[in-house]
Amino acid sequence: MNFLNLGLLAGTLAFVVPLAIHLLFRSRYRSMDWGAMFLLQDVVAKNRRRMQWHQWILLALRCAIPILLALAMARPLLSSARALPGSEPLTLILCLDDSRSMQASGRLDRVLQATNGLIENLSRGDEVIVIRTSRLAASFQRSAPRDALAELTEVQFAGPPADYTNALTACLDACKEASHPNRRIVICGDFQSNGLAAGNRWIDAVEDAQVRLERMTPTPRVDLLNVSQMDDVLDNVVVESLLPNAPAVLKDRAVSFTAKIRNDSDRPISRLTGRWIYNGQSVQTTNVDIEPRGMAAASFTLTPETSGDHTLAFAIEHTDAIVSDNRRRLGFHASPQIRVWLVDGNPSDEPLQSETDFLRLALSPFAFASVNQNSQASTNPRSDLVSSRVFTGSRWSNELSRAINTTDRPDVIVFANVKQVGSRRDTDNDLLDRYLGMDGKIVFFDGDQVDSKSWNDQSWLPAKIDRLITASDVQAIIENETTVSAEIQENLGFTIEPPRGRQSVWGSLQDAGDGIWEEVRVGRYRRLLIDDSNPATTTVLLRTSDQAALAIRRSNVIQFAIGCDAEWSTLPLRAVYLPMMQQLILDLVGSLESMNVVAGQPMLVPGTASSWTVVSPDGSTSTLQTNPPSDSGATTDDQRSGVFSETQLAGIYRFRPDSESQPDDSTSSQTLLRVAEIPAEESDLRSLESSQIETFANRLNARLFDSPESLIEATATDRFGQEIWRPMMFLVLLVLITELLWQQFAGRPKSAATAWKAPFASAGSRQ
Amino acid sequence: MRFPDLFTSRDASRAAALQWIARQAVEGLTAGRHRSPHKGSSVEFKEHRPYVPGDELRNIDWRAFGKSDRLYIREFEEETNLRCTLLVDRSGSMKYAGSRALQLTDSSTSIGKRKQDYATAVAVAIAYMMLSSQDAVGLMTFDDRIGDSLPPRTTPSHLQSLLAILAGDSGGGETDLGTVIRQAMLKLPRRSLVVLISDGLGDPESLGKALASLRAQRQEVVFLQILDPDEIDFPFHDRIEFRDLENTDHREIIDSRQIRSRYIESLQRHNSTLEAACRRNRVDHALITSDVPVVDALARFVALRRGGGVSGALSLNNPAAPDSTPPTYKAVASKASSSPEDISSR
Repeated sequence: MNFLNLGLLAGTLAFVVPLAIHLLFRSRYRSMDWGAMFLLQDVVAKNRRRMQWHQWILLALRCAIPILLALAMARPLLSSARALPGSEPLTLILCLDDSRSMQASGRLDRVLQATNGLIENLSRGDEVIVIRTSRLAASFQRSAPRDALAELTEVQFAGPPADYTNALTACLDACKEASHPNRRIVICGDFQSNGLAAGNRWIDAVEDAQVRLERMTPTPRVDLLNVSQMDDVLDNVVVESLLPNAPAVLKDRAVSFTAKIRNDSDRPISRLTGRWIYNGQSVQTTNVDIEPRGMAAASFTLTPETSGDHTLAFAIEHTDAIVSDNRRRLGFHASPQIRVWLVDGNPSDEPLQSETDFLRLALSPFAFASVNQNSQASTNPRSDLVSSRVFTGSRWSNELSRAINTTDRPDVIVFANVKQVGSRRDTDNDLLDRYLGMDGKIVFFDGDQVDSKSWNDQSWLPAKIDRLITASDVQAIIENETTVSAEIQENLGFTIEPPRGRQSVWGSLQDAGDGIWEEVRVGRYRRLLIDDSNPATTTVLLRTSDQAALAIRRSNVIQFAIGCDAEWSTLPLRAVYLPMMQQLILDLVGSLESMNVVAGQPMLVPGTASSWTVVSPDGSTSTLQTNPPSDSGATTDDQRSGVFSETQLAGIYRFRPDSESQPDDSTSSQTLLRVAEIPAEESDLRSLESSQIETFANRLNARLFDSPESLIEATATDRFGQEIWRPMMFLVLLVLITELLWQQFAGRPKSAATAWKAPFASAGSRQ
Repeated sequence: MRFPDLFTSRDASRAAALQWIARQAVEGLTAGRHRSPHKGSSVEFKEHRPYVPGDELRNIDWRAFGKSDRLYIREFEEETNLRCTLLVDRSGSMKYAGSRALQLTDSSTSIGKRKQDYATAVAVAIAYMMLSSQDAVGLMTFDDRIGDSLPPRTTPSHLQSLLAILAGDSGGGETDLGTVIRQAMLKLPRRSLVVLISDGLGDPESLGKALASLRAQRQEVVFLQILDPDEIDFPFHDRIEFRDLENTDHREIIDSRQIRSRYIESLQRHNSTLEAACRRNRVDHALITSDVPVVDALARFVALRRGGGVSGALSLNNPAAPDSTPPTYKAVASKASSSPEDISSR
């Protein structure tokens, strides 16, 4: 216990005053002769011990009054065992959940109240490291308390969902950057239901964090502030999704968009007005009714009249807990026609004997029919969504070199049974890197001609090409009594597992049922070795019934383990082949992933210009430099493209190429559009289970607070101790009253008090 | 000490007018107003009894003979005078003098505010009243034993003898009323009136037994308990060393506030026991506080006694006493009588 006015503590010596008075009083008395000593003696004998106790207690109370009064005036500070000495400098690591859900029900006000209070309680020598959950990767900035307060005023609570385990890890990393050995971690947020990793993986992460904490000396104290406990009303309506109903959007072709609206309140909403906003212009309004806790959908059909990047938004007019989630945006690219280059590694003059014949037929059936039935049919190629062009040998690289910076650049390049990348290996490699960096797409088909060693050098391929698996291998497997499905045993071939709805690329084929896949047999395929180090980026699109991958995708590249002709499988001969390839190309080209990212995730900008001016949703501008391809040829996606990371704000980002940075042969000067959006889950305002939050806190030996006031008070108490003069003054008052009452009533028996008021009992019988 | 030192002429005439009639038959030496156990020649017819040879013929009731043809003798009540013995407590406890007690005489005399002085005045007043009624009055003083004594006499000059004894400042020891009364019983005449004037601060059980013995002697007993107002309401607030008046070696330093209520409770208990003993033995008990004028107190007592209102206990204190007097005693006093004027007018 410390005292602010230590000098006044000497006032406790005033207890000698009542003690002296008591002793003086004891020595001062008057004498008198008394006749009724007979009665008095009896009373004294019976009550001597009680009277002595009474006197001692009275003396103790009287001595306690000046002592307590002096203690209270000395302003005592009560501090716990783990408290910091108030003069020690401290590094406060302040982690803020600046996700969008913090806008609800005054949560951000409470967080700011807490953070401001914490910082205001700091001393001049202390420092603050502010960490925002939307910018965990940002470098840690040590600030003076005053600067930290200014920094907090600029925080926009509109970020993506917070991950508290990652935030905790960032806080621990920030501890290393602290200037002072005494550190305190305070995590403020709403601990939303999506705030921890699914399952129990977060527990392992928290335990690891606890181990790291214990290794630090002195161990930083961790405090958690859950501001969602004081929520009032959490009625909210959110535009959950906005998606086109077609895999790709083409110029002059109508495509419908659907927006789904979710009502998270317990009351129905009728005639909710929604607006469709196309390229910043309101084009249509619609009204929807939504049941409590229900969903509603609104549709809008659009025919893009120009090619290029467009944005569409759906906004509802409703006052609820979070206003910013009442609008959702979508970016899409409208293409005039999908240009596919087919690089044929095994050309032939015979019909359907060339490697790409089946694929060309599948992609451009009308054009193919025109060529075969009427030599003038090429005049009507517009009926096809895809225009395909076949290259043999290394002509494709020459053509691509010419067209890569023009509007003739192909949307997709298909390598079908091509032995190697090109005759000019390094040049062609660079060319393909540039092509991919400009949002190009590549589909790779295997075949007999493929030189696996050459292709395995390509870093952009999702998997390494391994040995060939044939039906004879299956026979060998059977003979070795290895587990093989009965179906393979009967047909001596591999069947394909119906993809059903697992992959969106084949989603439109789901309605046709699994029967369309039954007759497909795969005689042989290449074993694909998928890079296990980063499995999340690679998706298996098609596989055999034995779970062997037949088609995989990573980013803009799709790799098949089979050929695109009928030599290795019967797939090109089946009816499913045409819609399957059509959907594949449309999905690949029409992919919205490159244009729409989760807020906080980086945006990739094709390297058509070396410098871009980026206009963020809040109107601020910044410059983005695109790295040129390296001379070594071993380039990554980030090197090929510009990566823009400041995407924490939801909205539309405009990338305008700087004129002097564009290559001379470039014809593209269009502004690129990218959209960052917050996932709809962020609008689910439910908190984590209290048991989860308590487990999170307990594993860290952290304290959990529900209100800013309690957090501020507790941290101030830890640092400086708690002033207890108020309770002590109350105690003084209490002792005063007790002394008064004790003096007046404690020495008087209850029966005697009654006798004082009642007549002598004998009075009533006196007759 | 002379009688005029104690009472004014008005008080003396009021005292002389009081008539103290014995409740039971008493044996006196001369004719008087009190019933005698013997038959005599008064006008009060008592009974008939059969004639026996030797009876005087003049006492035969010839009318009864004419009606019944039998000889009956008419017998009449005998009335005699009262022989009263005053037992006056001169123990140490009677020397207490409270501030509120009556100042009986001026400062030139030795009579002051002590309970003993008040008891002297009461005894003198009773003696004056008795002698005025041709009743005999005697005196015994006591503390731990019988002190001075005078046999009952009816001569007016006997009052001066009483005053001479009471004026003496003898006594001061501890009191044991039971023992003293038992000693006094040997000297008391038969069928007389015994007036015990004391503060009663002793063993009530012993006193009760002594009263029972007196009653067994066919004595009519009146117990006048004299207490100072201070002894009743204990009005002290500070720290006091109480010195025992009966045993000077015994003293207690006490915070008087702390024990006040318990003291009062103890006094209540003590007096209840006394009253119960008196009631059990048909002894008139009157509690008189020393702030009440003596003649007023006696007048009230005699009036109540004549009205049959005193059979066990009676408290007489000053109705005009200040508020410090506990309400208990006020209530008792108002029940006993409203005021001396009321009593005298009956």
